[in-house]
Amino acid sequence: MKIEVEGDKLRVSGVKELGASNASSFRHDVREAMRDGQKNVDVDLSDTTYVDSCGLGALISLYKAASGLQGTVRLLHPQPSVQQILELTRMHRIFEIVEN
Amino acid sequence: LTGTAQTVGQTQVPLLELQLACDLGQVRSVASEARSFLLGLGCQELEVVDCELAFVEACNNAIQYAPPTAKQTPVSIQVLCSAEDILFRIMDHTLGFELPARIDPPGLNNERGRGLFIIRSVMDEVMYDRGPEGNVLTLRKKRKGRS
Repeated sequence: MKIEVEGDKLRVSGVKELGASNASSFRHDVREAMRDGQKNVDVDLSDTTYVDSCGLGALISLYKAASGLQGTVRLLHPQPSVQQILELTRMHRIFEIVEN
Repeated sequence: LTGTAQTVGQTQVPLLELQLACDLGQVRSVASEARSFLLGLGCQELEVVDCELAFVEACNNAIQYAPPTAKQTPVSIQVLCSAEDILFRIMDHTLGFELPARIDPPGLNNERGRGLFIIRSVMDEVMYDRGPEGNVLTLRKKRKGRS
């Protein structure tokens, strides 16, 4: 996973899967990177082939952290299988989802 | 990837049997085996994606809720695929739970509690039987036709 800082924004990319086995480390690493005041987070999901409910929980955690700073979380370019779980769980109501 | 077969009525139904260690890191590889088995039998990609989603959630729950005394006992899995449907049986060693008749999605801000909702949303039938030797979660998906 790669985390880049662009001003007040973090860009997270290179996440192959986001599930029960790595959701905690994903949440921890990104929230650590937000400690310098980055309030907006872009999560590039173009390389992500799988997200499960634990992965969604990690994304919601980021959403709550960013919202607390009056920031936003955007989910970029989800693959169709990931888009499916985002729609099923109504995540489009809290995240801005930028499709391809 | 090949499995064996189980007789259902008068029909031999392809069967894949798997053992999953109580380790969340193993779930995806076991799910990939189930996926390959189903695709090899001509199941459509969309129905396999649904099954994989439900299967992973079920396995995650079986591992996450296993008590310490059951951590050395693997989760036993059967995948059956007939012309009509795809069936998963996931035998866990948790304390079990009462499967509610209706499962509403949790609040949008909740970080947990979506597993059963996802399973119920993508599968056609979900049953849970508690037993002294373990519990069995049965998931059924009707097939849309061979690809």
